[in-house]
Amino acid sequence: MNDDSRDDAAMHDAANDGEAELLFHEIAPRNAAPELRSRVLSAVSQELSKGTASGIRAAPSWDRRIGTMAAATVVLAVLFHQWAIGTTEHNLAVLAGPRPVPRQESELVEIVESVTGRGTGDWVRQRLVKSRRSRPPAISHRMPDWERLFKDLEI
Amino acid sequence: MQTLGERLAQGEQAAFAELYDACADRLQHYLTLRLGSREDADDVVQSTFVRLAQSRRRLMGIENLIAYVFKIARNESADWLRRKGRESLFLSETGSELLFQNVQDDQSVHELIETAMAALAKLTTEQREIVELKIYGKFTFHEIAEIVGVPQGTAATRYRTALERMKGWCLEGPQ
Repeated sequence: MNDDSRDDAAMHDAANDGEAELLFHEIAPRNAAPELRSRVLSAVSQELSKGTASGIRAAPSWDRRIGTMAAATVVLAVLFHQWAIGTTEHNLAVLAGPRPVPRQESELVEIVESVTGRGTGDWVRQRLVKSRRSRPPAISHRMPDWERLFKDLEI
Repeated sequence: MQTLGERLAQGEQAAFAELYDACADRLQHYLTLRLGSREDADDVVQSTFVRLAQSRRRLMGIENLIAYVFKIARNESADWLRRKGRESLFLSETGSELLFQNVQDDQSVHELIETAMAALAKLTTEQREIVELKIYGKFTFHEIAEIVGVPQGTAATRYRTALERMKGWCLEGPQ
């Protein structure tokens, strides 16, 4: 029996089983060489120790990344808010002139002046102006400016 | 109790040994079929595990670790072939001893091996890969689809076509 006819016979047998895959199930695959295990695990061990020795820090988790991004967004929003207020103040000052002194402040300065003299009254006025500049204005404080601006635009 | 994925992610050496024992034989067989050489397959098995160790933190969230290992090995073997400037080659019938345990004394086994090699040679590279993963890798079509990167239906169709082709050849004999 030559090689070809032997092959034919074997194939015919396999085909008669009804499933070509049975052919493969009947022959045992060759396994990995035993020495490969120690070689691979040694390389893995080297890689693991490299990571530890070089002090590679754990990658930040997604929770931490999201937290950092949220914090950065809040800081940016606050800075942008401050910048927007400053710009609006500046533009309004250019358009409508300096903000009028609130009536309560004028009355307070007048009382101080009447009791302690003009010098102290000026000092109190400057302090009040400085303190007003350092805090963001409430929208209601700006209403007269807006009204004046809209009136000017209508004209 | 920690899962294997969690232990791997923590860099536990014993976990890597466990993973190796679970898939090394099948992986080596698959890579030998892809690369046509047991030595090259050994190199790629090693580079696959080194790659897994490098990106171990990702392993925590992997549902099917064995399929994932095969997927990485497939990519590694593709890189290896690209570096060597050649394509996947199929072992000739004389290379059957690289894939199968050949019992020299048993003539019937020897014949079966020769037949299997001849049948595999009739298939396309893609079909051969699916047959290997299904029969010796013992993967489901879902897992094969994940490894090879094709839809599950395509994997199943390729497998059925390959079997029909081999069966047809077995019935009709070599042309």
